[in-house]
Amino acid sequence: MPTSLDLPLRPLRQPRDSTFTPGDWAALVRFWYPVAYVDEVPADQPITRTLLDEPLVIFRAGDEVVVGRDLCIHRGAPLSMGWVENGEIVCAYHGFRYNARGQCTRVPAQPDAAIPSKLCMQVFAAEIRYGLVWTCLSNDPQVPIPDWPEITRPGLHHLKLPPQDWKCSAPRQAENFNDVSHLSWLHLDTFGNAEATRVAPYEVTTTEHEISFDCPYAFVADRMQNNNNRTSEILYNYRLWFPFFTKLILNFKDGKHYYLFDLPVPVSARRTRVFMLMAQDYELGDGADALIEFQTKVLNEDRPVVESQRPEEIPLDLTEEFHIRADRFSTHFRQALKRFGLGNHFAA
Amino acid sequence: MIEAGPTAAVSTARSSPLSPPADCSFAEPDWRILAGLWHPVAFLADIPADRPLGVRLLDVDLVVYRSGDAIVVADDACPHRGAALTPGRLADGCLRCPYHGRRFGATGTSEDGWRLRAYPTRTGHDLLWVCLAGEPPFELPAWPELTQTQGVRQMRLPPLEWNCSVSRQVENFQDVAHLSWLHTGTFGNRARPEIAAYQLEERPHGFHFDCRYPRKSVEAHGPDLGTVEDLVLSYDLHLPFISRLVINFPDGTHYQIYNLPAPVSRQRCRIFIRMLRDFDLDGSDQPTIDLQLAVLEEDRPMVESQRPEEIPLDLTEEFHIGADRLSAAYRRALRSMGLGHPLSS
Repeated sequence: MPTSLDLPLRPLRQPRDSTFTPGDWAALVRFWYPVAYVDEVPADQPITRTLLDEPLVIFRAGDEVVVGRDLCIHRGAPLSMGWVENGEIVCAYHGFRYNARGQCTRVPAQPDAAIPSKLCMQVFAAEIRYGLVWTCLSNDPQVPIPDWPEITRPGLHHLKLPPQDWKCSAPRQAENFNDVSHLSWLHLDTFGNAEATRVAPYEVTTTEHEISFDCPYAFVADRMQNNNNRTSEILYNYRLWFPFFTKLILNFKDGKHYYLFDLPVPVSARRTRVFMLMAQDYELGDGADALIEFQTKVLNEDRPVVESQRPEEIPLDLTEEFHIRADRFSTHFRQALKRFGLGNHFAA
Repeated sequence: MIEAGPTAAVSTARSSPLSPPADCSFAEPDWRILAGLWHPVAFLADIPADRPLGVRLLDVDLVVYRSGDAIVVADDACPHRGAALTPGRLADGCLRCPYHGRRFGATGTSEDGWRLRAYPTRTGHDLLWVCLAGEPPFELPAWPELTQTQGVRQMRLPPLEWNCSVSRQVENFQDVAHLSWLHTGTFGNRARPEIAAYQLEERPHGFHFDCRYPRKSVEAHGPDLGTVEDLVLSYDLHLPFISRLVINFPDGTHYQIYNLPAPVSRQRCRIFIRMLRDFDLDGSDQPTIDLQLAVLEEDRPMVESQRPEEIPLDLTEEFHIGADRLSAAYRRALRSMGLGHPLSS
């Protein structure tokens, strides 16, 4: 669990030009999100990322990664324009320096004056998990960071895709990832099976943190270059961890597994950064690059459609779109988001 | 009758009752206050004799044209069908609307009686100044050095456009504590970031203060000498946005910078800068101009990134150190002018 901060976490105000409704923003800040791969954060330079319209500064302090508000409270300069010295971030504008807890340690224009404790950078709880930097903008998260033991199980091969930026809302991306009935339509150039359009009925279970369902799919294995030896009759285990993060396990007949982790992060109401992790417990026939290329091709089949869905946010009022039996996940997902406090027309 | 006479001549154009433009980016109360002030819109030398000039001020698109000795500034919209006048031809002192050919002369009136919505103008410091509404409460500062021809070299920069609010640009110009941080590529002395306490003096229309600064010595016309020069920086701020900095060198010479920004829109300003020096009178201007541009280019990316975009007039919203004495007083002064209404967005 995250280390508690010495400084009281002042509640963050919604950014002035925020694209979310106040209600949705207030609900969404109460979740953990990954904001960068750990290896995107250099040793001596900060980076900036945006989460829920809030610009963040991310930098290293020893073994820790610090996530703070990308703002020096002195004159509103982005701290990400500065640099890191001895685990402290230096503002490029006036040289104010902040430590990993956010406390200002130096005001170079008046080196002898006492530094008030309220002079600080706002720091958010941060955790490194699964090779990603996670943060929560609220001190009252509704759900912990996903608990995915498979990711750390020994003997797996691990891969990741470079972060992708989609012009869609995060729940549309998440819902698409959990949608079975589009596989035989959008993915015919990769693994989709045009003969397997019928989706067998499946049961959906919603728990405190997850929505899960299992569904068989007869995918076309020979197009999955690195999977030539895998049989095509497979069982998909879908596990969505609230709010938007999905673990998908492909169970092959020979007992081997392919794990996919889809992490869409709401940069703004209609901008989503997608992190994707993959793991296998078998040897990759054609190597890692071929699988990364294949998985990227699959996402590129989804992306234009998801970016064109209207309304841009998923309607949480179930009467607004039409649901078939294969959409059982979707109805559970929308009801759950509503329970978490998201409004209908999520962010519209 | 609109006239553009010598310095201090104020034209008498009558403004129609004014309201902010439809897509105004300012909070309406702020816009109304700013519309009642003089703002520079162009160097006189940049206003062509043979064609109109388009400028934007406070989200209002204006057309500027010469007609004989007069300079007319009006909405860039023909009163007949709203066509933009800036693409029109200027001939014989008349601006011709490109849509239906109506001609507007020195009074902004067409032969058949259509009237442009024209604004009061005045000239001063080689610039054309415009007020969109009312009688401006502030006169321009006299600044006699700017008309001096003997013993100084007068220079100016091409007008600059920054994507920032005018108030952030002004504060940065008046800020001493950033010199050792942002300007290390030019004259900033990273080894000496401390700022000695300074006295802030209130002036009839603004503030004055003197502050010492040990700059890294860079001659405008020569190489970095690698030495430290103790300067006295004398700042004058004329509310709300114009200011000058006199740099007093140890040898008794001076370099002056006049920072004259105008609000184009909420997050965009146009900056007119004049400089003068009373040394190296036979030297070239270009090295000084290049150095001044390099210094400003060190500021621009930072000022354009500051958030919130306008300086917060509530003093509790940012953090003020001793070196920010001017900044705190400036924010109070803007507030007492009535500025600082929260935006509706």
